[in-house]
Amino acid sequence: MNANPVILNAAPLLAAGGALAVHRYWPDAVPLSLSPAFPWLLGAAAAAWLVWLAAAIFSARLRRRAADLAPLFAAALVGVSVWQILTGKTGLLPMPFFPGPDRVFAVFGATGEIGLLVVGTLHSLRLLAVGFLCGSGAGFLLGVWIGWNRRAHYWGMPVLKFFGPIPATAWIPLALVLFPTTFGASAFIIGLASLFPMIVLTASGIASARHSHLEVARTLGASQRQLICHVAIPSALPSIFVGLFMALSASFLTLIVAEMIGVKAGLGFYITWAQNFAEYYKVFAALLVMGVFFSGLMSALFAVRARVLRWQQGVIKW
Amino acid sequence: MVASPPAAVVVSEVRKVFPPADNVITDSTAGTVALGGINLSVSAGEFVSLVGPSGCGKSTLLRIIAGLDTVSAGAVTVNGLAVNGVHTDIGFVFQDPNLFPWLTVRQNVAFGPAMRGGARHARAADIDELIRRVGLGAFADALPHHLSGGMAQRVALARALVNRPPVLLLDEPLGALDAFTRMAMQDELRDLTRRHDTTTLLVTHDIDEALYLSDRVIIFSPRPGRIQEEMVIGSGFTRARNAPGFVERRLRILETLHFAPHEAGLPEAADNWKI
Repeated sequence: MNANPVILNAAPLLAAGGALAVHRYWPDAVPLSLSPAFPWLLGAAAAAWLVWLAAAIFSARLRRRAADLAPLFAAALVGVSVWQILTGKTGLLPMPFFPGPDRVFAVFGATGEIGLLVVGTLHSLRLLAVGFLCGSGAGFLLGVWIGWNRRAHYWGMPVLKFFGPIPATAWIPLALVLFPTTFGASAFIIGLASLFPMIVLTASGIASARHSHLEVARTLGASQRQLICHVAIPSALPSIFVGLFMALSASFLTLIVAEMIGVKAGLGFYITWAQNFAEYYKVFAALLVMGVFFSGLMSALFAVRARVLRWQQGVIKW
Repeated sequence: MVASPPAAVVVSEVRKVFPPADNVITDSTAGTVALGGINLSVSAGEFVSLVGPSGCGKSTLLRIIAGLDTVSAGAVTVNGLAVNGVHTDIGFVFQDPNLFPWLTVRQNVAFGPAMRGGARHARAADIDELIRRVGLGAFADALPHHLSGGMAQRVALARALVNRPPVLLLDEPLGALDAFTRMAMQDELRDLTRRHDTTTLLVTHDIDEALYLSDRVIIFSPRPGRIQEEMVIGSGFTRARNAPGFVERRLRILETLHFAPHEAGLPEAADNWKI
């Protein structure tokens, strides 16, 4: 960005101020939320930015990062303001399906509601953890086996090719019969969704471990087991992380579908429940929480990957 | 062959036939004969080079001695034991360094001892010492993609030597390096193998390299590979690339390989031409 640094750093503050002015002085077409959460949130965003700028006086790294983030942060605040104009201020988007940000953020200000969202998130996290960890763990082990063992490859690949493309959610009727609880059935479906990408990508990573690396390891005295653990699996790691990424995406989708259909807790359940009462502002609030929750988990996976695959830096980017 | 020191590697009547590329059912003679009856005995501590046209099976012979390939007929023993699959009496260096990219230089060198579960602390000092000896002390914690080709190959050499193998098999280890790095590495290689009296078999395309390093040079015929000639290089031989004996021997090898006309290199021939 080649903008004047003063304007650049002030941009988020101007955006927050603009959004506050819109909120306060632009007459409403639709009645405003009575909760003060939204203006407080805008104020908090501006204050956080000021704190950052103050810290940046002492740190060149924070200064560079601030210059990098300023346009994005300002744009996000402008976006929120445009959202408010399109909804509450002009009524261009119909109520109650498109509530303004003041209404949506008010959900986070209401003590009862925030509690429900937190509990819902924890329920979702528990279901996701059980399903994803079991599914991708089993997928990893099966993938190593199929990628390494010729016979396992011969018998396993046709099964994978046949059943792999079936969306995990199509198994829901069967899962409900197989498991006594909806939690078990949902965990099974999420596991299934993470299983196939993990098997396929782990197996392909193991199978494409360089022959010459395996030969070197053999001349250095590695046993069959050591060849798998110390050569094949490390060389398959880039591919395994792609598998984890795909498995995690698939399990997010399956998680929400499972919660919207059968499970009586979690963010997906919260959304359906709010929708039944036509409380769309709660739907939007839950979507925002989901965004934070899922992108947080993805970032965690990427951080682990960046650490584990440090040896590969500069080879692959995503 | 040489009787006094015990033979470290004995290759007797080894034939290797690769099956035809297609899975057509034919008798074995329809395959590619890579090695057509090789007899070779290498004494303990001896440095032997194998030279010959490409595709003559010299790399295959090395792989058979390592146990990475099987024989079609014949037998190989290393230190008196018949080779039957990969064994740990050898160190093998390939043309490509083949370092494990996810391990640091030190971890690469320590790979062999780690696989054998040797006492780790006792070995750590040995490993660092070896890394220093190949001139990479400052790079012990570097990852392979930070190394140049010559440095990577030195790590590969250290990795093969760390288990103190009695026999070192080198498959064109310096082939991919530039001329200056190659000459420097030839000196290092000679020091390292002399120091531990390592029996060494070197496959190379570089006749100078073979002459410079070896006690004996074995010249292979084109496929099917057979030993065409052996040249014993005495201990009195001056190992300088410009010594008269060196140049004369190089010419003889080139003649054997049909890369130099018989007359050109010989003084009488030159005289004849003048008259």
